[in-house]
Amino acid sequence: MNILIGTMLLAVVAALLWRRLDAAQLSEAQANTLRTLKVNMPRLAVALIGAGFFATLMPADLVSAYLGAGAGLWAIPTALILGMLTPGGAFVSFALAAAALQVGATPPALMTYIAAWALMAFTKVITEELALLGARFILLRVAVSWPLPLVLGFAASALP
Amino acid sequence: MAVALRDGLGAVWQIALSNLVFLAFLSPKILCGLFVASSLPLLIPREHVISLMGRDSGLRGLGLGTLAGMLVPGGPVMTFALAASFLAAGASRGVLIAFITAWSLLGLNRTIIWEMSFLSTEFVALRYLLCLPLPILAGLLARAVLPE
Repeated sequence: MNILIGTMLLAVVAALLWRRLDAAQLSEAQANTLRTLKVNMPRLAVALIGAGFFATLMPADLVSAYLGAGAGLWAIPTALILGMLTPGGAFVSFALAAAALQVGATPPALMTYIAAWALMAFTKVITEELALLGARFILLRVAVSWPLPLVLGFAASALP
Repeated sequence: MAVALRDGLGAVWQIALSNLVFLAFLSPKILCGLFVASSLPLLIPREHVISLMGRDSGLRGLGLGTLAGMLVPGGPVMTFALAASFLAAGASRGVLIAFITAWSLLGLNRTIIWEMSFLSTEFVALRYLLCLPLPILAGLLARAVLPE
């Protein structure tokens, strides 16, 4: 259902943009789309299948011990570290979070995990961001960003 | 391999197949998302954005950075390159940190294509709402830590 809603939403936006672009821009946008698609589709297939394997192998007892209700608020900092250590782009943390939810991890811990991965996934920061923005900027960004997943996780835990 | 050892080859094929079917379901969405990502940068007037994101832009600049981060549809290379070009053109660091934070936590393309495909609407909505103030907070923190 969610997939259908998202697809329709994006189709509408794409159609609107299609009408706004002039002929030259349209062919440029189409070429970009095709190029990205060619590069990314095989990666996507491999990453999705890999995430599927990983989710199957996920040790349910460890996940519920460290990220479940029994871990209390300690689950939040644990999730912060795990999120920063999770490599991969686009959807990897969502796939793993969905699997972890099913084996007993709490939603606030997983929100922390997703936020930490989105903001500070180690592999992304030291490859793409370091190359494009430089060490000084990254130090400042990480210095102000690391508390945010904790704020999110504790705020979510405080909700009834 | 570990899955094959534990559950047998049948399980491997089953997981591979079910994820490929999932991918086939997702592909129209991915196609639309990529088209949006490719065409949007062609329509955004760059000079305009830069003049609104400078160091004197205050809270409004942080808000604009946040909004831009939510709307920019690309992956990390495109986003960081965009941020680097803004930085070079005189946008403030605080605004760019709000921008990158918003792109990371609130990027609509990623949330719609991927997050909603894996997680329930309630989970996504709650996470999204709670994350809304965080880019501004990060921008303010950055300005406090290292005045521009």
